[in-house]
Amino acid sequence: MKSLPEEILLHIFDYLDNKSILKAMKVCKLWTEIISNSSKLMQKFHLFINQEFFTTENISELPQASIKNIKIQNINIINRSSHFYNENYNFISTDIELKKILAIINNYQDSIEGFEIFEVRTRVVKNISELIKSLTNLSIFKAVNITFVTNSACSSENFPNLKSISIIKDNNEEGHFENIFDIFKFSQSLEKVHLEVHEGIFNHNALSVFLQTLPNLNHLILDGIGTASYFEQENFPFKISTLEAFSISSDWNSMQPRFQFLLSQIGCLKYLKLNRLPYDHDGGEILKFIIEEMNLEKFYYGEIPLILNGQKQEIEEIWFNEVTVMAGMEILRQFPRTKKLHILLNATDIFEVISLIIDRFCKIFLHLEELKIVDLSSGYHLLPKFICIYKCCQNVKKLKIESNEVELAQNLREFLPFMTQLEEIELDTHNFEIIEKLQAIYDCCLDLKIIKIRKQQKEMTEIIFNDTNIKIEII
Amino acid sequence: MDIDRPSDPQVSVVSSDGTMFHTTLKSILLSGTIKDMIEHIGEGGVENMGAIPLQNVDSKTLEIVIKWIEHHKDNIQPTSEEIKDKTADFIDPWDENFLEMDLDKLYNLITAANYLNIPQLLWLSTRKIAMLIKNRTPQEIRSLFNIEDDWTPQEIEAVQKENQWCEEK
Repeated sequence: MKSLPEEILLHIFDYLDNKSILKAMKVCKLWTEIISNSSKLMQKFHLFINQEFFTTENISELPQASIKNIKIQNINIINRSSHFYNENYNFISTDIELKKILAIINNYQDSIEGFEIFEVRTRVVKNISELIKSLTNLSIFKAVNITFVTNSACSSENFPNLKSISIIKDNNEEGHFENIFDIFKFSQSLEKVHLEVHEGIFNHNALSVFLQTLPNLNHLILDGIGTASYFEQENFPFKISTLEAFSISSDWNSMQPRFQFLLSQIGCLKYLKLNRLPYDHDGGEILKFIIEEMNLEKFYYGEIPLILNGQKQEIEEIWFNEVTVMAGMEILRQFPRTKKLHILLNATDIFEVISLIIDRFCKIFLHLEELKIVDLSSGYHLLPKFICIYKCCQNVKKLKIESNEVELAQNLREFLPFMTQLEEIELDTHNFEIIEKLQAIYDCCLDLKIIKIRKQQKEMTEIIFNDTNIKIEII
Repeated sequence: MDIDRPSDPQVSVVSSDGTMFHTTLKSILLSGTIKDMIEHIGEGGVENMGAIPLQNVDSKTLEIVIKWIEHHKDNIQPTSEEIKDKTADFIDPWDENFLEMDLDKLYNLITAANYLNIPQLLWLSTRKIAMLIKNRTPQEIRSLFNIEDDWTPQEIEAVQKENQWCEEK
């Protein structure tokens, strides 16, 4: 049989029912591998319950056994007459539907390993607990935008094989999604908790209380704006080896350093991923501590690996924004071979300018070959606030600026004379006035070869630079 | 070139081990692979075309394939797309009988049907294997297909535990 190619084996397995597929997986490793890697075959183990499910005859055609995963989507498990009725949900389910779902799930109670709930709204957490409590093989639970209209508690259930739960909220529906934690409290097997809150706030205390009931937690994911403030508390009820967090500081304007969390995890935390650098004031110091003192095996900033196998990596490009300047500079100091810097200026009302401490850091910018500034801070005039940094980038060959700052011409004149190696400049701006002043601005850039400019500004720019060798290109 | 002519001219094919077989154009066109070859043939047409070499099919298997295509040459053949949705349990008794062969021959037939792109024959032959798997235990499947058991006792215990529920029912 080994002589048959994978493609043909897949043909053959496709004729099998769920039970036979599971049997085939026991025959040999190759068969197991082929079957597990085929999304088409694995799809047979999924049951998808949504609004249409009840309007068709699906229920009578359900497979007889061996459903591994259930996904429930877009169902409002609330009594029709209830004032909690919500127009946004297409399907209005009554208690009868809840019972129907329960009956379906009970068919597969021994086989279900994965349970997913998407966009489900119900009155109390107990309704969900009722649905899943008989699933003894449940291993993965995931809820996206689950809403409990009424704040209520429920008792915890025992899932001996539960490994991971994910709770994600990216709608702004009011409710008490944190109640879901109740069901999984005291789980002995739970290793991974993933909480992602993109809209609204979440109850830190509820999370802390939940986490401290989990003796084997080792992987925590806290993502979404707002979750960073979780690390502001004093005590952390866990010791984990893996943390993936949006950020571990939440208030960019505070002087209060937050080392408590890192100190509490020293020795156990091996893998850290931050999607945002720690905020200024404490940022540089926290980052230095993470890199030098935490003994991490892996440290990622977004998708950029800073540390792998305990070794600092070479990084190509680094970016920071107006409230993570200090941490960004610390990275440049720690990783002196970085060639590209990307500064993103949003619209934050910052008062402090870092020019006072820039002396300490000025050398770190000398290695850069490329600087990109994206300034979206119209009205806040952030571009000029960081001129002291641009002045330090004395060896960049390529400069790219995206800004509608009114004083752009004047700003450029202030720092361009420091960039003596500049060969290429890209200017993406609505500011038309600046074109007339371009020649005066670029007088200092002796090595300039290429100017990239918006299409509408090309003709005028060409006239100005007519008698030079500078090439004008369109962005 | 007009390949739908009623006369159905003779065509020759040569197996990988050098045996020449004669069949008709209508029969051989059930193979998508050969159909593509013939459609791209230049001037001279089918009559002047030499024997078609089939490097991946041996003479024993080619003989079986030719038997099948000659029997089915006048039937409308489903496309591979149509076969994907095919759940029909009705199998032509002639086909059922035709597929009674040992496993080695069946594998070779599957490989040939795949190479020659004969969707209906591929469907029949792979389905036949699936039927053999269906009502057997993993151990029976292994001995039937002569597969080595490469699971360690620990591994199989883990898999067994994972799939407990499928044995109970």
